[in-house]
Amino acid sequence: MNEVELTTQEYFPRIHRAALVLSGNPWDADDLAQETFLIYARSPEKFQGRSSIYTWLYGILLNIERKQRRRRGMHQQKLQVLSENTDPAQQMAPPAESSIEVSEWKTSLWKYVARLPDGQRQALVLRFSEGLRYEEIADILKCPVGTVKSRIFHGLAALRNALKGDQEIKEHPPHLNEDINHAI
Amino acid sequence: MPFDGRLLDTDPAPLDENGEIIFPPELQELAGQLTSEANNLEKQHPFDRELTDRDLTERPAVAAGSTPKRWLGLISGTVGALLAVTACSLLVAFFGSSPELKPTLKPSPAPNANTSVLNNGHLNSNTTQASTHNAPLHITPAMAFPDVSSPELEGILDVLESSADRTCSISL
Repeated sequence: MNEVELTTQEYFPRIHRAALVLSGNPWDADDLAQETFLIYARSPEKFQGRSSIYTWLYGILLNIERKQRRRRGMHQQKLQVLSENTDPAQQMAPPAESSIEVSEWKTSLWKYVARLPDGQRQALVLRFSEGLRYEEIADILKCPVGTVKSRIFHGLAALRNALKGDQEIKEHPPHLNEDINHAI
Repeated sequence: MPFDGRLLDTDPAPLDENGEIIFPPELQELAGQLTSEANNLEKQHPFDRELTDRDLTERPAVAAGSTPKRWLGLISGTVGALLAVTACSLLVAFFGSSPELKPTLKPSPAPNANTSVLNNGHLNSNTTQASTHNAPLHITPAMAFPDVSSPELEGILDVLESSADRTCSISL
């Protein structure tokens, strides 16, 4: 077994777990993790040993995932433009991609983390899902340790605010179908 | 484009004397919940070990043997461009040295034009110009009749046809 295979055997579960938390579905997690190790296998010499191999692999994973999100975001924007031109009855239907994520993820806090900005989202995943040290996260995200701590703190605060906002909406839903004939 | 959090999170997190973040109880609870939910997700959806093992047998071939596609594309593109440049320069060298295609400053007359001018009914044969080409050419005699009306032209045409065994025509 060569070095690439040994590394893959050792670190694939960690990378897959992070990919699962980031993407919310096992199929995308499989793809993301495999693509990460494929990039590593194609050019293992790019890892120059300045950091741990797994922090380097996390860096590859986050890059791939960010590109994928960007592509998906553009795709959804296009779909949104299309849906604005369709009839209102079809607009009420949920988007097709909303059912991709597994139920465990949808009912978890990670769904809210996915809505945070990239920096905070990645820092939270690396810290609370992967259990990395602040120095390792700083190495992966290529920023100072203080910035990592700030992102984690403010990311959690933003998560709390998002939960509160969501709870308020559930408790006091907006009356979209309210009869306004009396106002006319 | 997703919002980049690096622009905003400049406010430092509250830290203790050891450099650890001081989380309020609410945030501490959220952090613990995130970790436990990540563990739960991993338990519910573990990765497929067989899939990984199968891929592992394919990866060394990719790593050691074949050239990536982008390199193949780059190499073939470069070779194609070199071939195109070589072909162009050969064409330029071949046709550029040919004397037949060199432009002349003085335009030559049309190869089949042999003009004679008839002034007042007299054919001036001295004005006939010889072709500059050496190749044998089929020459069609032509005459100009300035200041002649159409009925007079028809008369001249009849005279020419009767005097020579050739078919004549008028071009206006």
